[in-house]
Amino acid sequence: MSSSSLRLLAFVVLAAIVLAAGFGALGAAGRF
Amino acid sequence: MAAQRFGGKYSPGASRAEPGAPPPKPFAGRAAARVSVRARLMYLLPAPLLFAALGAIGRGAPAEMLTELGGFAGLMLSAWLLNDGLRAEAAYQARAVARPPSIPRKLFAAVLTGGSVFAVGFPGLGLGAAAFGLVAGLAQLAAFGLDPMKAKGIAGVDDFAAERVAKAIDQAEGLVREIIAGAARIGDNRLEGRIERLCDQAREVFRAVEQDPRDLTRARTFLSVYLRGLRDATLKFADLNARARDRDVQAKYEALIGDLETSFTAHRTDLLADNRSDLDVEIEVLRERLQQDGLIAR
Repeated sequence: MSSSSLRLLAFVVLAAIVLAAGFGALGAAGRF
Repeated sequence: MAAQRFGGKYSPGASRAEPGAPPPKPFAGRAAARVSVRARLMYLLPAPLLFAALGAIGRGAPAEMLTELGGFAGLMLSAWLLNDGLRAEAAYQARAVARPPSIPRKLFAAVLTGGSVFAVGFPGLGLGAAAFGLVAGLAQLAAFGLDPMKAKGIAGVDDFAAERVAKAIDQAEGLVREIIAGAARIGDNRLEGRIERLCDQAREVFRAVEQDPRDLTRARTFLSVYLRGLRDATLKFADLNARARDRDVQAKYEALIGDLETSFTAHRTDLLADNRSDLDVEIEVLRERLQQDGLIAR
């Protein structure tokens, strides 16, 4: 696996966690 | 008066040679700024948190609002640090001699991302949120890399000398930025272009000094007289020009720029060769010239 695809993978993981934190907080609110 | 046959630069039979030295290419020596889309996306990803915080405000849940707003602020600050860190890294890589950025911004950004994710997840997940925070921080480091940490110099030059070169060039680059900002205030594209070309030539000298810092002292005197003179004159002219446009002042200023252009093109090579006495004379003449015009302080 090349280093650039590793970087892309790491970015995807990071994006997923940050988005999950945001949408998780939105979901916990139940309604918006 | 003899009649002159109609013709232009590209007419058949016209001589292609331009009078004088060819002007330097306008963008020579300047790298295009690289924009990392992924780093910019980091500004966008925390957006849902903001809406969640707005929802929390609507429901009257202060603790939730504080966590979510705090997490949002942390992530935005982290994105800003990350983008700044990438810029600093690009500046570091553009130079042959450079000190590392004073703050390891990308590292701080990764820590801040991890901390913010932990803070947002903690109320729901408890300590399990630490795992997410840790993975987020590590993923950011893997995705964007670490900051440059070591000063880079040239083989055979001791650290002290490399540090001095880096410092001198930092100062000179600061002057160049001031000059360009001052030139922008004049509001005359033609003058601005000429000043930018002068600055480009100065930057060429920076790169040459970085490659071979033996002549640092000499180059520094020339560059600081030349650049400081140009800066003082440019700022003063921009101020005067903003108040009232005076043809006389403008002519004087343009003459000064013309002088600087000739002396700089002529002596750029001396600066890099071992032609010292000529250069010393030139610096003296330039200094006197600037003082006579009243464009720098006596």
